[in-house]
Amino acid sequence: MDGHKTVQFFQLDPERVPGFDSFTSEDFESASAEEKSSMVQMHKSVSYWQDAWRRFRANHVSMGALLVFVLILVFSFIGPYLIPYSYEDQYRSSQKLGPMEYSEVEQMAREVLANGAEGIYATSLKSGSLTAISKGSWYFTANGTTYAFTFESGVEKATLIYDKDAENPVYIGYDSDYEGDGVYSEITVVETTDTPAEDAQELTLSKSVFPHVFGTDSQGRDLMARCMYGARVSIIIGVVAALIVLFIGALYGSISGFAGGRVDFVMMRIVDLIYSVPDVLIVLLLQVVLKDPLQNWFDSSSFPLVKALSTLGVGIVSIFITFALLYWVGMARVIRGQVLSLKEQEYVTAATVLGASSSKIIRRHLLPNCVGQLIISTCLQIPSAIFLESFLSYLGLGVSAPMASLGSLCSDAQDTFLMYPYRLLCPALLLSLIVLSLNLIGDGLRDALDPRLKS
Amino acid sequence: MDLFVYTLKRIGTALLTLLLVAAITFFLMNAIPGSPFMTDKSTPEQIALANAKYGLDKPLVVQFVNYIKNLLHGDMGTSLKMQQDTAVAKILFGQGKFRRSIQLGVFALLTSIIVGIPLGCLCAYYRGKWIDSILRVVTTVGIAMPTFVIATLMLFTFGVNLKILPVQSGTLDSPISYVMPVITMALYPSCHIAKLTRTSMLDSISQDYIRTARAKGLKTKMILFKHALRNSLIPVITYLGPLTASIITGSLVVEQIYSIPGIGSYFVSSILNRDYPIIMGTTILLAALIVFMNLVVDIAYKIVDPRINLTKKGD
Amino acid sequence: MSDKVLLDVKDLKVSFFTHAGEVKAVDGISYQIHENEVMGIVGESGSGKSVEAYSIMGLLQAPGKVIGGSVTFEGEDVLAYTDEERRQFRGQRTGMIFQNPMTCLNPVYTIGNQLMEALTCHDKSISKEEARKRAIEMLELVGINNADKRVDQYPHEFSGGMRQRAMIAMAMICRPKLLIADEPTTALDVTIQAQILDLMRDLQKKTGMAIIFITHNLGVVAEICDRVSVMYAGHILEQGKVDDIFYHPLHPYTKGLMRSMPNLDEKERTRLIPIEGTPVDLLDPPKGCSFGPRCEHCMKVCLTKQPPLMEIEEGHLSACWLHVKELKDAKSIKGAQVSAKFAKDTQAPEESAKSAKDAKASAKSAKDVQTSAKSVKEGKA
Repeated sequence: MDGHKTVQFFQLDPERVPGFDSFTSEDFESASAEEKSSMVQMHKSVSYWQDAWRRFRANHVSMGALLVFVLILVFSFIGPYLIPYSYEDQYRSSQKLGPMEYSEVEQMAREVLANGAEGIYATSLKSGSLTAISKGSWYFTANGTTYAFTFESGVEKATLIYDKDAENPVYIGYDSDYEGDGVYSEITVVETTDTPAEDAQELTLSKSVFPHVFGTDSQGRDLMARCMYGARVSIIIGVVAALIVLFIGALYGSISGFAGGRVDFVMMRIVDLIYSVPDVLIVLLLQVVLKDPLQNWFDSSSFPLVKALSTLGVGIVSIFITFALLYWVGMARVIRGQVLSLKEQEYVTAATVLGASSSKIIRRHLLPNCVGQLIISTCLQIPSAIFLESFLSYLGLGVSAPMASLGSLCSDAQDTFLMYPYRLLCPALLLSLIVLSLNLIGDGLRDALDPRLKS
Repeated sequence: MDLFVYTLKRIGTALLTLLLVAAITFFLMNAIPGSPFMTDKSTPEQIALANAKYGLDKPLVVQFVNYIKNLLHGDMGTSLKMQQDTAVAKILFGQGKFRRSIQLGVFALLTSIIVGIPLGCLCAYYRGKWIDSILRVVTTVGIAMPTFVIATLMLFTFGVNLKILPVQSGTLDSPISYVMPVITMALYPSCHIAKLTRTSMLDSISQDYIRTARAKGLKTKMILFKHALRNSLIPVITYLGPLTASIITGSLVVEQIYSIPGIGSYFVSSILNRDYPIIMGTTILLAALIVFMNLVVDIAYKIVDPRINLTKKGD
Repeated sequence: MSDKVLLDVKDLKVSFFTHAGEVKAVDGISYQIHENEVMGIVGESGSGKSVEAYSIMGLLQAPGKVIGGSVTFEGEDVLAYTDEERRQFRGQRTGMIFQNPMTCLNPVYTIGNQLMEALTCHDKSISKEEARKRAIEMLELVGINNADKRVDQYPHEFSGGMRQRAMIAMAMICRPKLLIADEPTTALDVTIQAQILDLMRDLQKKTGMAIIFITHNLGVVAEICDRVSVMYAGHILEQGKVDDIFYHPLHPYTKGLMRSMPNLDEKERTRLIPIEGTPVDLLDPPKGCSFGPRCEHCMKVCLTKQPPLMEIEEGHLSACWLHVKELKDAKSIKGAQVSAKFAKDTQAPEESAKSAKDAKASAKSAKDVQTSAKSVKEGKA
């Protein structure tokens, strides 16, 4: 076959070229290099994280979960500063109140307030629980003036009302017979002076009686304050436990995966062995075993770190120890798998060929590429840690009183569920919301960060 | 033959794990300060006497070796406190504790598989449709609720308020007494299995062989339930090991709430009472269940996935 | 080759609707395939050649969507099929094989099971024994020894080449009239590639089916195809008989492809001439000719207008404004021969033909000598 034989006999038919006559000779001049390059528009390259964030944002469920979780964080970490009750204060007059109920004292204060009083200090004691209130001096400041007074039987059982229009601005409606039937009817003027005594305690005025949103428990503690505190403890336990797991697991896993060969084999057999140990049984034992030695250690040591730990309490620290001992194996497996597959990548080979040291390869090439997996696993570890803590607290082995976690709150409410269902429902709902939102966030992160889904 | 050798090896590691669990439990248990016989009134002489009686005065290692020796002969020791001087084996097996726990556990296991896998398939089949969305919400909520909350809520809704189910399941004499404990124990695992099945189904669907099946002209149902399901069951099977562990964990709480005298609740009270032989007995028994299940899973895994089973036979 | 049109694709447009915007993967392509014909579709990665095949088979998945044009198979509108009709169309009237035989077979079922399934899902009446017999026959047909034993083995017990043979057997078990082969040899070793190509050519001769052969390997095209379409950025730039394309390429892109192929017959070592630049971003394609930014002959008109596919010679189509320029020039200089002018403007015809001839020869030899298997994969290096 001759290559160009057809060329002579066949000619392009002008009829079949659309708009043939409209072309001018100018159209067929060569285009300049600038004109050619202007045809190609360079796209702004989107980084991995920008792309991941865009995908996460597009996931409405996860965004909703993130919002809920942020709200819970605000509730549990900022909330305690916004309400006048604290988790450990017991208000004898406010025992066993239902959600949004007021005790008689509070009810009376509300009525006085409705009559035009300016401010009130009712049950909003910051300075300790009822048992801490002794006879003594109190003072408060209003409109630039300090009013100090002494009240025989403590403030909580009376209601202090500040009325700026009255001749003498302080009233106390008090219980005439505290231990008796508890009728709060009398309103008596309290004498005040300008100078408080040396160790007088300051009271803050608030303009309304703050409701017990979740009610109170049988010792007169505000349940919402306890839930806030419990949620905070639970979240901290979850996050710290997850970080412990992350640290140990990532370290162990990356060393094992990077070393490979015999080292990897031995290290993974150890992981397999720990993995096959039934964790919950050992955890229960550990909780009991660690209790006394930890307590002794806390009591005897004056080392600052130990002191800090001791404020957390024995229960929480032993939960951390449990996680450090048993729960890192899952993370170690994930990271090892990642490192093993990343190690095979060409860019790691390239780095090795260029003479990069092992530690540099781990830091510069392996870890950044594992970050997605690390974040996902850690995020999903938090709810499981919270779950385990609540399980232990439920069995009476987790955090110890007066500290509260959501699990111990549920556990406390269990016996009186029939009478006061909200006492169980509130912390249980909060616990479920935390776990639910973290799970959903984790799912969303997995979808957003998993490079397999990136197309 | 391959499978046989593998099984033998696997049984070996299972026994090793059990021994490890026994050792950990034994030494942890003895690390608890004080003596199990310590009460407010007891004198040091009485404690020493009791220790000598039960062999607790010997060195720990000797005690442990003795215990293992006896265990191999089927002797799990006698209770120190809870049912003093009764053989542990008799307490666990003779009083129906083991039977009850096993029955509950097996029912819960079956329920969660029977409910979980179809739910997951349904989600994958209707991916993105309303039925998928609803089921995803339900399953996600299901794994976010602690067992003890579910148990309490069910107890008070169906037992106390509606009065349609017995409040105390007790010794599980009537079939209806199984209903609440089994549902409570199966809820979390079945939601987990449903999620797992959905994810791995969707993962399988994106594989090349599904494209081949589509190009062949197979029906959608056939593609999903023949080609995608069997492959996606592999991760579900691997979950059965942890599933057993999680059901046992659940049983610790559930047996307490529904007042069922089983191994789970007995284990918790034995720890609180520091009745050494009973702690050892229950731990080893429960651990054996989990280890056994892991063993079954590993072998089943080899059978389901021909790639693993026959790698060596190939050449 | 017969003149009866089997598949008629007209102005097919396929887009992917991604977060970043619409990606026009296939932007208005047309071609016909006759019975008993092998059509090659050549192009770089991302030129839309696989997408186009998937949309014919109805295998396109979200976010991909056919947004225009028509596909007619034996007079029936394929795009208008109901799900059930399309299911019957797939597998029975058309078969398809894919790039990676390692992942395209289900690992948990035997080869025989998967072959028989392809048969029984279209014909319920067929008995199990008969289906098995057919499966064994097919395996023998594609050159698998001990087919009666092999039929009960799992995919992992097959080598890559054997799996691709099994895939071919599976695609052909219902005796389809059209086989779409999507890079069937790319993932295989060069020696195995040759075997598979021989097999496909034999089977095509035996059965008389038509094949759409999608590849980026010009050597493979030269080996097996009757006609070739050259795709670039969702457009067909040149289409014609395989000899026309190799010996007398018209489009600057095709010429570039030929020049970038190694020539083993050449006595001295000659420098390969790569095509400058990289393929266009389909998210934001140029307004004019998609090849414009990389074309050495780029003209003003190319900046604004996509050239249509025009029949320059009999059965040889090309989409380039240069041809129109030729025609204009020919009209203004009366009596001048179009071809001579055209040739002078671009490249001396003898030289062009010679280099193309060499290119084809070298492509064949490259395949045989099993060096440089991936002959043309420019822009990706």
